[in-house]
Amino acid sequence: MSIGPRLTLAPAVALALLLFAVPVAFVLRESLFAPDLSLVHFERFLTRGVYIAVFEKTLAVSAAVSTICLLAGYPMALFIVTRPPRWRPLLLFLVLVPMWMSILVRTYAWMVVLGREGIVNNLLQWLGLTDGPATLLFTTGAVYVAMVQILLPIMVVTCYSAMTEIDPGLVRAARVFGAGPFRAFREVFLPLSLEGAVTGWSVTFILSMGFFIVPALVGGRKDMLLGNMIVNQVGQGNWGFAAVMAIVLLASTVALLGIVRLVASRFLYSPREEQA
Amino acid sequence: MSGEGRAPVRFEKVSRRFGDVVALDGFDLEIAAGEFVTLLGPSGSGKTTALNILAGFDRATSGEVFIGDRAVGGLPPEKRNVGMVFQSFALFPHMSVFDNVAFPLRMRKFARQEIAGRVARALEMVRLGGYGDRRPSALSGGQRQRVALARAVVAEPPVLLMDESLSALDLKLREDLQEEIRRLHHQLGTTVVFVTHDQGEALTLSDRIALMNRGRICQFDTPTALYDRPVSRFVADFIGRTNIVPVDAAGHAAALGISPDAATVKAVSLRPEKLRRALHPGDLAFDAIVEDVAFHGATVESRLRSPTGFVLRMSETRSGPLPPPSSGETTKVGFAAGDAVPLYD
Repeated sequence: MSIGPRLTLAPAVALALLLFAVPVAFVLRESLFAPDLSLVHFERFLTRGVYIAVFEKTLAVSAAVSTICLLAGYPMALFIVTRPPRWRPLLLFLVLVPMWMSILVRTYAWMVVLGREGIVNNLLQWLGLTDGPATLLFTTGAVYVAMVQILLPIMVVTCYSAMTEIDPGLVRAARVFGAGPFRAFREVFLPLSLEGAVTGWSVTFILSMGFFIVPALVGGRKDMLLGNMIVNQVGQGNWGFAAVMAIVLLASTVALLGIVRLVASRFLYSPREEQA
Repeated sequence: MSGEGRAPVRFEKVSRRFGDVVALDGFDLEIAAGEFVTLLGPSGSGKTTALNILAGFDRATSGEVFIGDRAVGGLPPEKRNVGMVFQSFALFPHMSVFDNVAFPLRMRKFARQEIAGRVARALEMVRLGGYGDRRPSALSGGQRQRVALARAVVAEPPVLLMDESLSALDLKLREDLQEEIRRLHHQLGTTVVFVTHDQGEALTLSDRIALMNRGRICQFDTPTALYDRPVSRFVADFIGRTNIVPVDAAGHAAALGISPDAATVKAVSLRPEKLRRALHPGDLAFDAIVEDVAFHGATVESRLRSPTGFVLRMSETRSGPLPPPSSGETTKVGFAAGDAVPLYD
């Protein structure tokens, strides 16, 4: 009986090792050989300002995109969850539809929308807001817009599912005991949904950190993220240096989310903790 | 905590329609200040709709609700100054027991010290003194419901609403909490509107019961009157168990010796425990065949067949003068004429 559960877990553990731990180990090994065991790749990453700058930019863009997604996605989820139950599936469906298209297709769509002859430029000129076509494509702004559009549905769904876990009776209770609609939200609904919001932020952050198609297609040269650098290095056959950047990306993401979790568990209510 | 602020509650021709469905149909009810009234009925009878309209979670399609002399139909829940105990407890899981009970006081902007004192007293009252620091998740079901009770009364609302408040608990806890609620009601004196589908609970707790069916009140009366003098088949059947003997051409009632004094009587209700084999002087009586006998602990339940073939249930206490009947025997069974309650529908 005591060994049974472990045995049944074995296939899953083996699969996880094979698919996740082994590749990471390969990447780690790659980063440490040049071709002999050395830290020369790490040294290069840390001593050339340009790589550090791209790394910082990746962190900043990811944090900003996740935060914008949160600020837009939380209210959207709140809107959906407060509609009558028969409308919710349709609204959720509308949010999810864009996710059925590949990121590549959606990014090309943004190139069309933001290009010199694109809808936005035509509209701006028609309204007389600009004389000639404005430079919208290949800008940092375009990167933000496209990344947020791609990641927003994930945020909405994550927040939504956290919100559906909240007993509507709790908000009613708050109302009966003297809280107005806004106060009831602040005292009860918000604290109970924050954990879901943090999860949404974390998921979008992880995904943002690895983005490279969007910056490559709609961003300018200075909008390169770490993902683009890795693609470049791999293209040039520098597997070792690409591996270093992959390790840095992985380690920094894990570290940052660890901190977020730690802070969240200290200050936020978690339904899972309650059941433990 | 005294009952100074208790208020009467009045529903005036309240209707609530959801599309084609009529949940409440011209609902009239007057509850005196300090009274414990239960809205009792099967699911879909409109009792929860009535409570939701009183609490402010729902609006009447027409009609008005009064708390005290104030029409509250247009007020949001937070302006109605009522306390409420929910079926699912609805304790805030992210707050301690203390903060849960303090919530209504905090919303009413009481001073911090006043809050501490009142919360301590309210927790003491439900015998949970010293539990303030715990999370609701660390409490048992009964303790959670007592916290919910403390939270509902801590601000001394003039009206206390209870929505199926004990249904989520098991039988033993439910009986304990019934006592607790009765004690609290005596102590606080607030008006209580209690909603339940459990007739036993209603009979135990209430000063008066409004028995509801299909959005209307069937009978609004004391528990004993509801039990002893039901005004309709539905009431007779819903409260306790009974034998409903039709007064018709088949002569079922006549065979039992019943001759109603009004032509409009369509049936009579005869409680199983009113039937007896040890006849009293003046009893109406008939010859019954005992078809089945079942032992129920304190009582023995028999299925009887009357001379016209009508099936009746009889319930006798085991401490009665005769030994239990045996299946298949024929016996005289009687009842006091006044125990046959005439029904007109």
